[in-house]
Amino acid sequence: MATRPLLRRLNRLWRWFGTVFSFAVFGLGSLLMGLFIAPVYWLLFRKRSDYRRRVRRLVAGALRFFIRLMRFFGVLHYRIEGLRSEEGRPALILANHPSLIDVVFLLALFPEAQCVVKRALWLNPVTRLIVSACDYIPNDDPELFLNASVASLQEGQSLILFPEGTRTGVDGMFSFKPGAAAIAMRSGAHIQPVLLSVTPPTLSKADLWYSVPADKVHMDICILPVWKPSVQREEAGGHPGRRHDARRLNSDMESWFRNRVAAWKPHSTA
Amino acid sequence: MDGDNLGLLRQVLTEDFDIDAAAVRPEALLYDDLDLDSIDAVDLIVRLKELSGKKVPPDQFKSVRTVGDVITVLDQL
Repeated sequence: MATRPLLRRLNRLWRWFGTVFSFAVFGLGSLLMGLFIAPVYWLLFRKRSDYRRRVRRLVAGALRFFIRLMRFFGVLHYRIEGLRSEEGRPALILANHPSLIDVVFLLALFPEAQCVVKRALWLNPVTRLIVSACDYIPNDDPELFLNASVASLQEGQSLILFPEGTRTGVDGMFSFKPGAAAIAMRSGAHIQPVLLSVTPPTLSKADLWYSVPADKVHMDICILPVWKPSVQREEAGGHPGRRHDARRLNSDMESWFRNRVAAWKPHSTA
Repeated sequence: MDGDNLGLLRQVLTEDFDIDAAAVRPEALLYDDLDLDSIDAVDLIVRLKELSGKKVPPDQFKSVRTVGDVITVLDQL
């Protein structure tokens, strides 16, 4: 009995080491991919869409390795249910946003997808090169964000987007920004919802990025079937009509997500 | 304030955003009183450019809060 607390402490130390090591691998990997591999790809693949697709696949592979590394250290355990849409047509992938590692999993699951990403990644010297090579969309200029997102979908790229625009607050309340609905309506894309659950809550807005929780972290991912918004697109009416429909779609999506996330408890914290 | 720009803004807001003309006063808050969101702001800038030829730079628009602020920006272009 007396050894139990000791084992827990050792376990936590091991996971702490695993966390630090994984972050180091992440940082070094990003830098090396950006500095050495992306330029080689640039020379090999002259067609822009080809280059972009291959760089993204490279990144997805690296992220899958990163996830498995964290699993090896027992830092996190993950489970994925549901199927990605095999239709071949691009989807607007919308997910809730409980933690910092959400985007890692989504990029690993949807290897060629376009993604809306924080401007900070273009400013960070470690991630700057590889993020540019992937041709992601920065989130700070609303006009660029909207136009590039719609254009990407129309060109055939799926798009990963967090409708909340930021990580979910500690209170768990959802507040969708208008971007997701506007993009859905203007591109006519189908929506692939993805639910993410992190237990215990970690790497949330409230936590420091290096904090190691007392227990192993569980990441549960549920990919839900693709659906097409039933609202009319802009042909049905002028701007006021489209605007009204977008608001309606946004509030429908927000309550749908709120209800699904509240009802889904993959790991009870008992 | 330039009456033309107020008139232009009122026209765009009533026609394209279904906003009551009487609500478009210089002190009206775009987000709180007129219920515009960030996507509406993008569409508004595009529409103003289509009608007046004046393009509002995104960083200038970021500090805009009221109808009067928009008119001030338009006046300066």
